[in-house]
Amino acid sequence: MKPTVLGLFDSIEKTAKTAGPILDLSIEKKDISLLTAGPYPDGAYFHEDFHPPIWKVAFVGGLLGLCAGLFIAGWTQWIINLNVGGKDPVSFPVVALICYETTNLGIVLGSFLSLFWFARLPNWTDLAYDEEISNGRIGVLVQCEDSSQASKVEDIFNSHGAIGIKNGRGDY
Amino acid sequence: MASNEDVDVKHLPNFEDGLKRSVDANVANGPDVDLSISEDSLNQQSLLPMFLTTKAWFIFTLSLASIVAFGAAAWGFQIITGMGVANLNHPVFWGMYIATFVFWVGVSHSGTMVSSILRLVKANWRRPILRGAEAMTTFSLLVAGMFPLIHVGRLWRVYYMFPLPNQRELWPNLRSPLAWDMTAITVYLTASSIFLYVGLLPDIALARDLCPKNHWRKIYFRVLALGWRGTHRQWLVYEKVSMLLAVFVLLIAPSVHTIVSWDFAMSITPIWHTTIFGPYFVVGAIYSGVAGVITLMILLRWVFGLDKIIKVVHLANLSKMLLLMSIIWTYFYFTDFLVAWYANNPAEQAVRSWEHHRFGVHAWLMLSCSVITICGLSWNRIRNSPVMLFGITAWVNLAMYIERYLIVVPVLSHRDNPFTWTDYTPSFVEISIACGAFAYFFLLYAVFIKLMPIVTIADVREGKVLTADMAVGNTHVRVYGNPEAH
Repeated sequence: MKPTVLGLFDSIEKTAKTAGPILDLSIEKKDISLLTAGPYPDGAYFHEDFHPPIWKVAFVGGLLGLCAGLFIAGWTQWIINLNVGGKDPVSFPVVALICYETTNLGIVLGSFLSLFWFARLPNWTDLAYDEEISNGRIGVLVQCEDSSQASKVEDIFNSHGAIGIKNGRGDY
Repeated sequence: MASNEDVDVKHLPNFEDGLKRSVDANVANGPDVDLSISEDSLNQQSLLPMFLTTKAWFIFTLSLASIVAFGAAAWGFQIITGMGVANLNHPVFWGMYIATFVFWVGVSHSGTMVSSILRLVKANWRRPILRGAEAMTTFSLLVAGMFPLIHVGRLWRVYYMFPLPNQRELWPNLRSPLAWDMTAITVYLTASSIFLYVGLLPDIALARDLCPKNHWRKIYFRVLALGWRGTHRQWLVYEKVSMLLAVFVLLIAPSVHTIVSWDFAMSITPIWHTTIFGPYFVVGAIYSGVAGVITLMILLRWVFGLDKIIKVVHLANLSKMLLLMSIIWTYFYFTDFLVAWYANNPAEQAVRSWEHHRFGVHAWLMLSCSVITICGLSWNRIRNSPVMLFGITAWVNLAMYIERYLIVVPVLSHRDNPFTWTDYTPSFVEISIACGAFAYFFLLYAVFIKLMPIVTIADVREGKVLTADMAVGNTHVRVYGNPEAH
């Protein structure tokens, strides 16, 4: 299990200055994570090359919703036909209306599921974290190759004014 | 009098400080984001309503619970005795229950819709009010959803409405607007609940962290936070999903109230059978919903001392939206009225004449509301006065309830056939159930405030990060950062 180092800072400016030196240690961006209690603009630490295809999941959800709508409104009318006054067995405005609702519902559910999938939730295991982050502190979590690299990261944190450092293993 | 729960003062220090009513007027009336507020203070102020339980809250909640219990008993009485205890009879089969249902669907309209619009246009002043508005939608839909069950009487056979292949010799009539209505409201309730929960997720994680060990809330916060740590990737996903949800909730919302209007407009009934009914209902819904959001925000300020977070500027901005909706609603009302009046259709004139005769006071009360709202909210001083705003918004919601009642009852009591004309007055059971529903909404809200953070803390925090005061000559102006500008 790889060692991890979590540095806590009290300002984004101090935090941001650690990005360059850490990346200089040949640590990949995917092994570095900024932990905050609120959203910071992308690039506040470094630009994440992370483009989750949320819309694809939402699109699939929408398609499934559309199928559900067709099934509920179209198929039900077709097989359990209430034959009244020479009307068509399937009322297309009704199918369109219910499909509109179910498609939107599918997209909403797809988006919701994509939050779980791409944000790796739920995960109730004890991962590296500090409750002070909720008090406005900013955490930089680094997954290192070995303990010597971890100690270098600690040095970088200390030299840039970290107010706390936590070490762990396999909890990135 | 505050009765603090056993909380860790290290994390949530000194609740009495948060309750002090001597909030600095400059802060309460100041700009939308208070840049001087510390991180600790922001957390403390935002979580205060959850952890601080006052005697007033207990009394308020118990009173509401009593009214709800009374309403539930009335419903039980109706179930056991039969629908005869409601004054619903031919031709007035829709009375107070349906008027109340339409009212609550209308109130539900604005919460999520306002929240979505403000998120999409990235209005900076939106931040503290989002949660309260979204919760309003979910709870008012829960209340509205009860009324079809109450109205059908034999609610244990409600599954007859579901479009299921069956052996009951019944054919689900998907051509009925009631079936569309059930679909739309179920979809909106699901989407609104998801929207509310996604917005809550980072704040639940924050509450999990700040909640003392062994506190009973810690257990469900830990479960509901799903292990959220606030990693940059999680925030990226969160923001994208929030935006996507905002777009599609915004697409669902107008369809819901349009479909509710079609419950009326799809029938060949004078007054109801108009093409304008869909947009008229949507406008009315947003109108009453915005008023509801303002009322709730003012109550939160007063009861929980959230003056430093929900500021006068937020209320003033919302009241500008209310002013706009008031003007649009008035325009729609008169367009609907004028065309029917000019056409001089005898069937419609009979209903209007009856409405004027029987419900004249109600109608004038309803119309006075739009006059008062338009005149009052045109004044900056009134928009900046929480007391005046509270009065106006409460009046708007009363007027909109009357409007719903006037849409449903006069038309049915004076439909086409004069020999069926009658009058309708709600029975004691109907009034009790309607009152119970109102209390149920406020009870749900009061309990929610005790269980979840009512302020969107993460959004407020983001506002602090992206806002700054910039010197321009001898003055300062507030500037808001746009993360997408680079």
